[in-house]
Amino acid sequence: MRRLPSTWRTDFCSDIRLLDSAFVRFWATAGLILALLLPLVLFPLMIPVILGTIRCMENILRMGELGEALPWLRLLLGFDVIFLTLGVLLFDHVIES
Amino acid sequence: MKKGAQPIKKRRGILGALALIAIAVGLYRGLAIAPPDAYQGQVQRIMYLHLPSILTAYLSYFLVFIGSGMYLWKREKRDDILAHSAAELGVLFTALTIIEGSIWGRPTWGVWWTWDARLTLTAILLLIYIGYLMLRSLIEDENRAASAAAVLGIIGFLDIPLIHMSVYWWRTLHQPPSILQPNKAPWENVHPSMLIALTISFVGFLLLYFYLLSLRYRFGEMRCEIKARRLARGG
Amino acid sequence: MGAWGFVGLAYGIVWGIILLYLISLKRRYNSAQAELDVLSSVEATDRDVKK
Repeated sequence: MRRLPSTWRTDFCSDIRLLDSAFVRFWATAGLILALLLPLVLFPLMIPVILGTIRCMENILRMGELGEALPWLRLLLGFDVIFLTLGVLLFDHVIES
Repeated sequence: MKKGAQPIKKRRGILGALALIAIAVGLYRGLAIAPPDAYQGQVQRIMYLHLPSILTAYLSYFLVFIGSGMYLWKREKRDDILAHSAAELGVLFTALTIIEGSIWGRPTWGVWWTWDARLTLTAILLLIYIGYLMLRSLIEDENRAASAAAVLGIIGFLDIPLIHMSVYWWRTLHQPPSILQPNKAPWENVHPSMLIALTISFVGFLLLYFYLLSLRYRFGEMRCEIKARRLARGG
Repeated sequence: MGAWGFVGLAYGIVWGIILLYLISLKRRYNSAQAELDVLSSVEATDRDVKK
């Protein structure tokens, strides 16, 4: 059985050590936690969109038309209008050059 | 800076004392003088806490909205401090509302919790503003944290009527008629003594709220000042 | 648990939590005030030293 060249062994060990510390630092940064948290924070705000979409799709897939789900579509459109307007109004104030 | 602080502290002290008096009177009227409800019995007295709590929470979230908007517009620290303080208090009162509602629900509906429209809505509300507080604490740069939170404060508040509509439709349309009665105050034939208890309780809660807000706001100001002074000294 | 039991539970928990929050707020407030006082006194001595 051939032994691994000693240089290979040290390279491998230092690689593992590098990977280990990078791994730890990766999870420790608040930036990553924030990236994971942002969808969670935004989820409650998206609930009208999710519920509305489900009800509309439910009717469309079952009956081929909206029918009773028309109020949900109006809700979705209202949501779009409000948040588009907000986006346009707030953009300049939020994005700093 | 100490010179201007004393009259504010004195006024805050008076506010606190008034709050205490109003709360005490409200407790007395709510627990001792007001009659028990014809259908719900003694448990109805929890409503003297429940209604003021949620209304105070809504007021608080409105202040978050105003503070957030002002901050994005004028970029003045004090608006950001107001928004943060109001958000913290809003979470407090919303959590209290849910607890009170749950305790009221157990003898009235038989369950501690149910995914009824209003309860779901209140839970979502709590989640939104807990998210606000988490967002603030996780972004390291002060100004970016304030801006991000301000956006959340605005869209969160404007989303509330939409969430209200969607959750209400979701839970009440396509459902068989529920045996659970939604919590509706019978304004037509409510005993005047009950109304008095409710009003005094509400006044007490409002005074308490503004007392807490004043304290929390001052604390926010101090924290800001500490940071600024430390920075000026070079760490 | 009787009706008054639930009422007592609700009122007890609510005022308990409010009291706890008030205490925590006062504590944070006092520690910030103390820190500000320290910083003020340090700045005052710095100014005196410079004079």
